[in-house]
Amino acid sequence: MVNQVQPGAWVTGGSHAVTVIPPSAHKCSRRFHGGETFSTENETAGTFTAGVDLKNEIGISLSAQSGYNKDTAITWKFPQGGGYLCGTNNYPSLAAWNVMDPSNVGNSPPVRGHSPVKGPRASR
Amino acid sequence: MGGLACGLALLLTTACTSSSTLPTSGPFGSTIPNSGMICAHTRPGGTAYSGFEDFPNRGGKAIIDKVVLAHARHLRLVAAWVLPISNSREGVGVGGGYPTASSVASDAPGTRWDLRQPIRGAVVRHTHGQESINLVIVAKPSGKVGTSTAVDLYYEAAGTRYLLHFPYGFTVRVGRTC
Repeated sequence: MVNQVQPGAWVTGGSHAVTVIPPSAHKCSRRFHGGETFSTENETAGTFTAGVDLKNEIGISLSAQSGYNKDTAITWKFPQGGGYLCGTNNYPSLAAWNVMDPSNVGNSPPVRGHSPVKGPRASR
Repeated sequence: MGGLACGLALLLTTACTSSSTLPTSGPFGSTIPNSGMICAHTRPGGTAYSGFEDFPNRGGKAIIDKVVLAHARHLRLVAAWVLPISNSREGVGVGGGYPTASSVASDAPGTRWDLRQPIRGAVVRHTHGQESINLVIVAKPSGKVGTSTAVDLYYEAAGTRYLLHFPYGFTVRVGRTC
């Protein structure tokens, strides 16, 4: 399942919405039902770059941006049918980065350089 | 009157001190560094449950005293259990109402709901390998939304009392979505 990152103006200077295939995440939680949410207040979003080089995709390294690595609040809202949260390097409570997945087996890693990106790219 | 006030003050001081000074690193693990919120929705007058968290027991037999919703606002804990699970794919999820044998079987096949124990006095034995203990709480909001900032589990092992702090709050919202 794709994740959507919606950086604020302090990241890209605009209201870009970038959709990427998240990094491999196989350490999955228990099931959430549709409409339920999971939020973190201090997600280490920079871990995203381990799977997808956002600098190549949008022309900026999010992990290098002040304020992006710490104190980043992220909320996952489960669609109808529910699903699971899967962590990249640990189970969701402890993971540096989580993704939603309809199954509890997680997602495969993206192929570097072939990550689908929606939305405007920054000019370089 | 003055003596009564002093006695009350002493009791309050003791209560505050006793909970805040408990060791938070014990056989059930330590406080995790991340924090956040889990939200479930329910119908008016209903409850919701979270079986999101689990923990191992790397020590010997331990006995759970209680679970507390930290800084609860318009949210009341109405039930709590622990149940052993054999791996991370088992365990009760998050949902509206009360967990039932059928909902648990549907959401997490293999989970033994029949092995649950009420939280107070629950006996937790040593866990091996992938085994762990799933904590399940049920809460009821008194308004449109009830919130808490964390979940605290108090237990005793080998003569020492511990506090296991889960810094993920539980929110229950009345409606069709969170």
